Amino acid sequence: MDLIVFVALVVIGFVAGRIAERRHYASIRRREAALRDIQVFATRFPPTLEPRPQRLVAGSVVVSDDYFKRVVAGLQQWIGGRLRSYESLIDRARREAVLRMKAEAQAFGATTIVNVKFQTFAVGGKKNGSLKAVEVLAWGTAIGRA
Amino acid sequence: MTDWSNPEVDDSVNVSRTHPLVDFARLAGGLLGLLIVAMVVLMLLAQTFAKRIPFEVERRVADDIAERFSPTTGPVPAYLQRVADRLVQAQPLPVPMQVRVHWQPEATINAFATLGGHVVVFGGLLRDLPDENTLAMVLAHEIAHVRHRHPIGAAGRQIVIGLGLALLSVGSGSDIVSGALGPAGLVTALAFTREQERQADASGLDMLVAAYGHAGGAADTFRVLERATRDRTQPPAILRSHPLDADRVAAIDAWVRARGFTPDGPRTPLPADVVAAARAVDDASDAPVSPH
Repeated sequence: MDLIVFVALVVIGFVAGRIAERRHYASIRRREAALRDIQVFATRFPPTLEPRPQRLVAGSVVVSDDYFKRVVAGLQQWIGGRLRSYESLIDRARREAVLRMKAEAQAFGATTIVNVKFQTFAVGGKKNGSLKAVEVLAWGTAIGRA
Repeated sequence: MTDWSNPEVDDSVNVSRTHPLVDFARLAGGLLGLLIVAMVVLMLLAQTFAKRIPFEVERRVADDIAERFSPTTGPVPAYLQRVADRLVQAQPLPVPMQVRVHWQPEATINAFATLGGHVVVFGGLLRDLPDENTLAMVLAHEIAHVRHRHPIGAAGRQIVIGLGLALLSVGSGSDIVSGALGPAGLVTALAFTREQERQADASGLDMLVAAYGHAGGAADTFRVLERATRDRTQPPAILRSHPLDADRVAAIDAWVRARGFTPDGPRTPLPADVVAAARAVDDASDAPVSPH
């Protein structure tokens, strides 16, 4: 009985996770192309020192793993190495956070964001069975047009 | 600002190109393989070291359950015990091993040996045997299992399998453990390997010849079993714990020739009261057939 539940959870996790990931990547690539003209800089200084309208913009994403990813990661823990199943998840979260930040900048009328930083935060407890999720936060200073 | 540009680049460097199922299969396969190897090693160790458990300890465990078997008193059990004693006298068991024969008045065509030197013969088998010599071969086969400590080895093996599955938190694991340790396990669940069965056939034949002076009845025993199982669908030979009965007949003939035994001689008839008691056993037409 345990085994049937386990297999069902793994299958659900895999199928649902695969579909969600494929759709999300398609959406990410589409919006990245659309927002390509908004440029993102890690440098702390704006390209021009003339006074412009500026504003703090941020994008935040909270993602959770699925059962399949958790099982694969759990198995990987025994031998160590890359947690491949989580890499795509974090990659999606990071790019989505940048896209949301860019969308906010676009609404502000900016084409440049400087001093961009990332931060992650683990959501959920360490206890077994508790929610396992991660927030990826991107923020920076959007520089408006003169 | 026109100096700065944002060209499109490969966006997949941060993500593994390995398909997640490949990843999963490699990890799960590796872990499963390791578990299987560990289990086989443990099983072999359990089987080997179980034989080191003193027979007294084995008997103390088994005696609690032996009460569940039919009593050893009455004309049929007394007769079965006499035949077994004759075999053991001809080829003594190591001290302090003892064999106690029980009679189960059921139509099942079967006999088995279990922990503590307990041997159970079912009414259906006794009814189908033509003479004492064939019965002696059955008992010699089961006594050989006891002599070679097969029951305790099988029990050890089964406990390891059960514990292994229980570790994987598969619900049936603990059932197998309690099945092997509990009363039901001692009656049904002890499965010997084909090699053990072959050893019991060979060693049983030796005992039969030592007691009766000839190998008469040895092959007949398996012909009786063959007749009883003929109408049923049989799994292919490789999947069966027991060698096919036809193969066992051939093996017996070969051993008789190789060891220079007298192939046949005067047969001892079964006592009339034993035959009558065996005939009186309810004949359930579809009695399970599982020779041990």
